[in-house]
Amino acid sequence: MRGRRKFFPVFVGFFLLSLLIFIFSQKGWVNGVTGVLQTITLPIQRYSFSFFHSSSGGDENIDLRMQAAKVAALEKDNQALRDQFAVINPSSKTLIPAFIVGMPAFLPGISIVDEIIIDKGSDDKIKPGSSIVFKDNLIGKIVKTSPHLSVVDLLNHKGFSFTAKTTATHALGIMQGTGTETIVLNNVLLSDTLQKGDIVVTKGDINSDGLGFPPDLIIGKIISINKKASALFQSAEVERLVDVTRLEMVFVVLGG
Amino acid sequence: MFFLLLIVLAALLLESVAITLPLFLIVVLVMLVIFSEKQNNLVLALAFFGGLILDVSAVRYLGSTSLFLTCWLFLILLYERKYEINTIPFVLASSFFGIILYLWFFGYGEILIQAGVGSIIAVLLFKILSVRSAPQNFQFSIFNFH
Repeated sequence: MRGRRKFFPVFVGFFLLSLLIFIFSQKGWVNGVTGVLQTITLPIQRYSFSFFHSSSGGDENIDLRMQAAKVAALEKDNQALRDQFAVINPSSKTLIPAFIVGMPAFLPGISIVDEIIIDKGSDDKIKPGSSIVFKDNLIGKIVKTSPHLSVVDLLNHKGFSFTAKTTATHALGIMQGTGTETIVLNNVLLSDTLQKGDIVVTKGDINSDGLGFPPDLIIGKIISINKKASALFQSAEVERLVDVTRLEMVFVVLGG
Repeated sequence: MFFLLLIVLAALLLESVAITLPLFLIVVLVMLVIFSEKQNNLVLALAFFGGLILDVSAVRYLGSTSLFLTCWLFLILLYERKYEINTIPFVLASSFFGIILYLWFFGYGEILIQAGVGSIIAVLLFKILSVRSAPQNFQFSIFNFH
């Protein structure tokens, strides 16, 4: 056996330190440290995301591409802000603009994105359960917060479900994420009518803390209907109207 | 050294903003396999601090990635005491199972495909880094199990 530096004491040291930090983090005792670290890493993360997000290949000078990405991002942000504040529902008083700083996927640009990270967190009074919108479209829901960052589950996230209704026929059902590009409106009574092309909106289920989905936010458009006379319910495949992968800014609906 | 630093930073950056594939795990694993004789403590330290950065940027509990990485690297170092780890089959197997555990632990999807792609990346990185560090010390035969 070859001579090696002793690694066991070093491993035990790092293991115990990691375990200690992990336990403290679960108890919420290191939120201050997390906040400070995020203050340092957030600009890098945001800049990198903006760069990766807007880069489209080619052999241009890398600095120029970075600058162009920055200018394009600013223009998009201004436009997004103008558009959002022109929308009546949800009221602009309850909205916080947030930049997307992470959009993890197996193959970026190819794989399905079902989760994003935004640059607003518990320090901005954001809580898990708050809804995320773009104009009057529902984008997703906050599931995890840290001092300066939050994780958002998108509508297509597997396990995501909430009540919804169709605008033309007022059919009620449960929207469910499938982990694929489309989402499904399930549990619609056979006596209700579903129409191809009908717009599906949120029914509204805000709890006493003001968290949840406000009513009448657009979810998407029905693209196919699955109705069998022998089944208890019918369902419909719904296509989202907003391509989240093209967004750089979204809005958090503040509760209460 | 500069090349290694660049790979580590790129892995951290990509994993923070754009990709679910555990690139940082792959990088530290390959570094440990190649530099286990002299720099194993340095790789453990890198795994610890890099893990903290990933926890901060991916909104995980602070320390969770560090905990996973240090434990996984420790298992590899234990294995190294009895067997040779500078081989392609070892890199392939350890990265494949490491990625599966990592993705399962942190709740990601498409586990098997990502593990497959990740282990191929690990082997490629292993070959590149082996050649760059000390080519005469490493054998790439897939039959090299001693």
